[in-house]
Amino acid sequence: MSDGPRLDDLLRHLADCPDAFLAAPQVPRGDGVRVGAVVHDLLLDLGATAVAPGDLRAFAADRPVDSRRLALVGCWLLHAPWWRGRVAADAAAMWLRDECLALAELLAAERVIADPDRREEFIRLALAGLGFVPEGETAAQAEDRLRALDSGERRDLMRSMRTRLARARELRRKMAEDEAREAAARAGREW
Amino acid sequence: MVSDPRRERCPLAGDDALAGLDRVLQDADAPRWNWSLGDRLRADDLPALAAMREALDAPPPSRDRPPAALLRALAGARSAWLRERLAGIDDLVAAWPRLPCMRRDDLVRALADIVPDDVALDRLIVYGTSGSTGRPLDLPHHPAAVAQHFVLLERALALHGVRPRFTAGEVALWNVGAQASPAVFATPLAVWGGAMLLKLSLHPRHADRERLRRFAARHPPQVMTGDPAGFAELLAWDIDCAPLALVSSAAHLDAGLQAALAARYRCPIIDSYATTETGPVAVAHPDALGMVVLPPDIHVETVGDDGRPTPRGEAGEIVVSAARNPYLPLLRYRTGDHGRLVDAGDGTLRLVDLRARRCVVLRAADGAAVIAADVARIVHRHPVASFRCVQQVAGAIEIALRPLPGHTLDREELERELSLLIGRAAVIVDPTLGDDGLKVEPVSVG
Repeated sequence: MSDGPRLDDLLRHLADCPDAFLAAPQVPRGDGVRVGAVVHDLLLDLGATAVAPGDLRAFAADRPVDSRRLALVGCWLLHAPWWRGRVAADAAAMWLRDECLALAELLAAERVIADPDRREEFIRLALAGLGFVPEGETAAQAEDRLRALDSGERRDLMRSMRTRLARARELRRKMAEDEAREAAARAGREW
Repeated sequence: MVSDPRRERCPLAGDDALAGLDRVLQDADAPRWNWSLGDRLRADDLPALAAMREALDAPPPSRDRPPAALLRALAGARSAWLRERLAGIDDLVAAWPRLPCMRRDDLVRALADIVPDDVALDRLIVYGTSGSTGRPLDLPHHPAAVAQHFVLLERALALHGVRPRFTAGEVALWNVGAQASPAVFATPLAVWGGAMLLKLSLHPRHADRERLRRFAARHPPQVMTGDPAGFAELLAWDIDCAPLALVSSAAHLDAGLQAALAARYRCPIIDSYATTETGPVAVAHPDALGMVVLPPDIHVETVGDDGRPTPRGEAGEIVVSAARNPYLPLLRYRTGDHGRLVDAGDGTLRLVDLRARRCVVLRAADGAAVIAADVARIVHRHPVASFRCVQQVAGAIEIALRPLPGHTLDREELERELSLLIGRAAVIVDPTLGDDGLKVEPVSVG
């Protein structure tokens, strides 16, 4: 875990989320915000030179609206000035696609903006997912604080989701390792 | 003591195998090796290979229902994706025809949920698929599961009376392709006692024709596997060798090419059906009644659009269930290929009228082969939903692209990148590509 931003700065940034990031996502053959385009712009801002199509399909109009609504809020969070030069575009893409979309099962976008606890929880989940702890906190303190923000009835679900997210991160890391790629005796893939 | 990286890549390789590897790698006429790979097989993997050989020696399993071991593996896998779909089901056999099918999109979107939670990731290897028929996809695989493909290949060869004798340090198998950006490597295979696999590309970037002909004289293959594009180039390059058999996979083998290969190499030319996701599925039977479903540990069905099985003999999409790869349990995986399944009357199930991916070889301006995977690799660096690449009779190559919604394509840059591969290409941006409802064939000849 690396030292992260001042939590207050991100809390303020998220509270100031513009209406454009809270508007309804596009649905098939309908109007609305094209979430993939918003993600695309964010990734370019974070330094991507090109965005792989696979990184954007998860945000297409036929995907669940609530998840994409939270992804818009996630995009706004990652537009905060602190992230520039500190988070790689591909890491941001991965977090948005693999974690932020799934968090919609637990956190509604509107509550993330309106409810201070949910706002802090969302920011802390983003920081943890991207490998940071808030400025002035140890990893253990950050974990304790995140646990304290879990409401009782959601605790088991959160724990299970965090386990899944941690496993997903481990799988991604392992699949990206050169060793795993070099080890593939590729002629054996079919015969 | 400094560890030998070759022994890390090939833990079971003996001195004979490694000496043979050195001879091949250092041959003056060797292709341009660009990867150092190994089979990563360990001693504790060997019982799985023995079990596969034993299962193949047993009478053919019933193909009417999934094998009991497969059902147990799928029901017991700690995979969130599977648990969600199998929750509350007591009788898996009875429920089977109504179970939802897994799709390639699930592997893209929900891979982390499909990989079981309790399988250690330390043996994981990765196969990238090019996305020539869809989006690019990385798949986790396991060395012991991959090694079983070679056991299945032994059995496929034996069906045709071919029984190679493998010797440590000698070449067993050439796998030939014609890709512009492949892995080109050699490795001993512990599953074959240290005999070697050579993965080659008959593309001018990776081999020189005259040198490869000399190399083949010194390191001839006993058996060749490959895709039709690689085999077509084998003929075009006139590589002289006397393999015991050629086994084609990955795409439809054209009857004309099959006949030309048989005339040139005078050995069985064996078509097969396999995918990266499932591994080998079926291999042509010598009695010419389609392809026999070979692996005893998988279940193959054909299904209609609604995912319900089609009756025996009726056409449908080929659906495979498997649990050999511990990282990728497949529950009714829709392959995207179509065919009919028939009972052959000898206890085997045959796949007939297979409509798999076509393999069309285009020609670059310099005469080099161009296949869909090469075009796809470049196209998918850009925000492209689908593409169609057509070579006109006069030779001009035209590539129509459907951009991802909300994205602007850098047409000039794409043309520049493609021109490095094929000489000169006309890129047409067509936001309606595929709207006619027809499957977009990535590469074809106009």
